[in-house]
Amino acid sequence: MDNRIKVLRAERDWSQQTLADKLGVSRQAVNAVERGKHDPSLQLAFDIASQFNLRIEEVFFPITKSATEDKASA
Amino acid sequence: MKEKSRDTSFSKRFMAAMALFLVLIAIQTFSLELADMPTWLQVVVTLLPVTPLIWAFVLFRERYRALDEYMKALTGEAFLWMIGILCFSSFIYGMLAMKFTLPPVNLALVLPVVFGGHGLILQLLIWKDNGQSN
Repeated sequence: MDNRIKVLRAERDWSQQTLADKLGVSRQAVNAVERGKHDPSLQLAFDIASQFNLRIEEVFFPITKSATEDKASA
Repeated sequence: MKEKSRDTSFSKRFMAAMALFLVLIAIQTFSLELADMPTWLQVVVTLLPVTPLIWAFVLFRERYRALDEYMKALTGEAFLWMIGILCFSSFIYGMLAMKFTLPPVNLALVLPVVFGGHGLILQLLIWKDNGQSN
């Protein structure tokens, strides 16, 4: 699952720690979700979206086949 | 913030358990050396230091349950790695011991090795996932 957390954070000038504190999770968890190393639970995904006042599908989206191929070739 | 105070509370209680463990080790050593006790009491005194370790285990479990989903997943994976290493190394030792004379291994070392190794592997997993954090 891909996401726009990094961009959304940057727009609000929030650090990973700031978002982590708002969500009540560790900074490592925010970093792992942001980098696609950890797929969040539905609850955490909703919580993240709600912190940005967005809908879940505006923050998270499935990795498309072309994106996977781009990542593999990079 | 809540997470930090929870961590501090855990650290304090965990260190208290470890301090109690050391005190009980001292009591165990001196009483077994100096006091003339019946066998059942010697067994009780010998096993006395296990109680703070059980307390430490309960504290660790409590902390695990309070972790966020990502840290829970990593902690579980670290334990899986540690159990795998322990099982394979003990199996290899056992296989070799059937054919060769090997130096004895004190089983009391298993617990500190498992917990120490788990902590180390957990840090490695965190480092692996968070290598390029900002």
